[in-house]
Amino acid sequence: MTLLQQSIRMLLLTSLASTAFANDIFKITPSLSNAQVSASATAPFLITFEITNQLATTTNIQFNWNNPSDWSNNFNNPSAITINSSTCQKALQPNQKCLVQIGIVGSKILKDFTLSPIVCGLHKTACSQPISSHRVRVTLNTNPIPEGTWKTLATVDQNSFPQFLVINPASYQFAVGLTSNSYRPLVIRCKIDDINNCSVPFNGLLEHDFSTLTDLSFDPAGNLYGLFIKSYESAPSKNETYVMKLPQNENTWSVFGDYFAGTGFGLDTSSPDNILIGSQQFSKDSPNQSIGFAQSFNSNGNSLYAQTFLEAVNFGNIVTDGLGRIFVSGPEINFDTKIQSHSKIWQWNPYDQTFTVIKMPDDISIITALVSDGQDVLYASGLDSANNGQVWRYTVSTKTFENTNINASYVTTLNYSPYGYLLAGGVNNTNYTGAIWYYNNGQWTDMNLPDSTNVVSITSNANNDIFATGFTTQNQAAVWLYNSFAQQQG
Amino acid sequence: MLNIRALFFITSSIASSLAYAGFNIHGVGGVSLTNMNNTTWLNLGQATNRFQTTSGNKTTGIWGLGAGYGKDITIKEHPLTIDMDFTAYYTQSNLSGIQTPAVNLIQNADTLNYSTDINNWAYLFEPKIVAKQYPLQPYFKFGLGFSNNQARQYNEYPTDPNSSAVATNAFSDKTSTNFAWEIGVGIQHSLYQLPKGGELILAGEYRYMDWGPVVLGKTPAQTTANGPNFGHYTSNLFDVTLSLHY
Repeated sequence: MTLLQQSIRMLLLTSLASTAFANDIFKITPSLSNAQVSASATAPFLITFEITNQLATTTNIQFNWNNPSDWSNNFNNPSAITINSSTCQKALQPNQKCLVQIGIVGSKILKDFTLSPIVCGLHKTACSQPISSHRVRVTLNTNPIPEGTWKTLATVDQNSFPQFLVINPASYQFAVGLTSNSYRPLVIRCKIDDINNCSVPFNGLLEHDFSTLTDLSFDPAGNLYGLFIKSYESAPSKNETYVMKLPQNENTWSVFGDYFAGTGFGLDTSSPDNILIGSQQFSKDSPNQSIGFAQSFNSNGNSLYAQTFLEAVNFGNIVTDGLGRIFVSGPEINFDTKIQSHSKIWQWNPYDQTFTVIKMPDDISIITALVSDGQDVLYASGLDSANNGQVWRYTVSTKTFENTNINASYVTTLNYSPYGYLLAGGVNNTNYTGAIWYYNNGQWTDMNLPDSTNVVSITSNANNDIFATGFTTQNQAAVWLYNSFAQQQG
Repeated sequence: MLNIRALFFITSSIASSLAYAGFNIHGVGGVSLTNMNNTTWLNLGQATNRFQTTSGNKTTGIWGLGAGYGKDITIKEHPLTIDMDFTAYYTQSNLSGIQTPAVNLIQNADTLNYSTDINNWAYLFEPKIVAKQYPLQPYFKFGLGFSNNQARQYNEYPTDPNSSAVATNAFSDKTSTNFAWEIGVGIQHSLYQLPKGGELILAGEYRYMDWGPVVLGKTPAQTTANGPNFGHYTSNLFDVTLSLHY
């Protein structure tokens, strides 16, 4: 066979093979094959897709931006991914092209994802996505950090005492729990994007004559739960705790499950089928002896597990991690000698009805808050034996406990951002003003919260916004927002 | 419908000369072997999509319940029984294949795999002629009636996940009512004579049944009237019938 014959044969084979290849209805070609986006950049990173109509007819183009699951979360976040420009708002003739440019704001992206826009024509009866080699892998080349400036969203009644601020990203709402100037617990519920139209739902609350609100929490669906206490100052052992539920879009609180004896302190509603409450009860055998009490409920308010623990004075905090493990904290006590010692953390296994103490340094005096990173790490804030505010990091699988060395006088509250960094709020150690810090790559950074004497609660959302509540130097209760658009909004 | 009228005429003529009459109730259980391999096309408006059903051989269960009325006759000294049964049948299966989009507008577009679940109910009038002179009594039967074929839970996904194909169509569930028919042969045997003259009969049979077409509903995007029609659902049935005659 001559070289010419071989060449002709190769040409024929190539030609035959190409006719057997499948075709794209719309050929979608990106301007680059992958994108390294800076997580700290607020200017959009631009990617252009060229779309070619390969149908033998003219058709209008429609996009389906929300379909691919691994980036729809980002696309549903309006400030994370936007359509920067498009020449596709017209009918495309056969083989005609158009361009659509997508802007990605790195500081608003939750995590790495693959950008694969779906393009439809013929009234959405024929659709294409880029072939795998034309799908753009977007990776964040730095760890996300908080971006922006502080803005005071609202100040609350001067004589009221804000205790909690919680946010539900899915329903775009937040709630502030406070004690009013008539010493009654109230909850203010607001839409993040409509801060001037907050409501104070009290139906279902007033008839109970509650004296204290000890915790507040949204479940993932946007229903709000609060731990409300009926207290009897002369006999704390008679305290009753009501878990009250305020469904999303409703204005009436109702009792969730049965009220129980004791004082609830810690509430975790991150899993609606396993709602956790940490409490204080009094021993039946020794009525003056305070003990820890942990419970779990299903979504109907039916008790799943309940267990008292004689070696804790109470369970002030309760939290579950990403693997369903439950942790509680509270002051330790020797039930026989009645000698109270430092705070401890226990892992509660409700199936075995056991509390397993976590081995931790002796210099931990008080634990004020617990938070999980949703995986294997638990963070605890509190005071060390020298009365300095601290945040400790506990890796569950390796059972290692380490100090993160925050420079704080007191740490009141912790929050783990969906962006993967830790937030702490309290009072700083230099000028004793209210402060919020973030912890990233092993370092704490003071976020320079202005005009504050203390921070009592922090929460964050999937838009990399940070909300906090506390007190101003004018002794007002305030709600602050930290994001990159705070100045424009203000 | 002419066939049904003729059948009634014939059977009622025979019945007039019968010597013995009796009712029966019966239950049916067995296996249904189907083999759906065909190609159909669906016009969605501008685009026409091709559906190549390649389900291959599928074996599923079939269940039935019914009642009937029978009479004994004798033709040229051959004792026969003519049974007039009504039976309701149920079977469920699924079909799958490959969809090629817009075949009228582009050659060899990237394809999608599709599947849909099928529930079939059939309600048949089933005359049966049984030769009674043997311990193992052979019989012949045929059936006419209607079926409700339900296609539901349509699902499609790219044949090659690396290709440009993307799941596009959400065809809705649909139940269609169709003409159904069957023809079959079998052997029955009296298991037990009841004290008051009845008997328990066990039968094994083969039937071929055409349940009529399987049709899905429309997808919201299409501008034409009908969803995909996957052709007739046909079965080779091997089943056992237990009937109580009294």
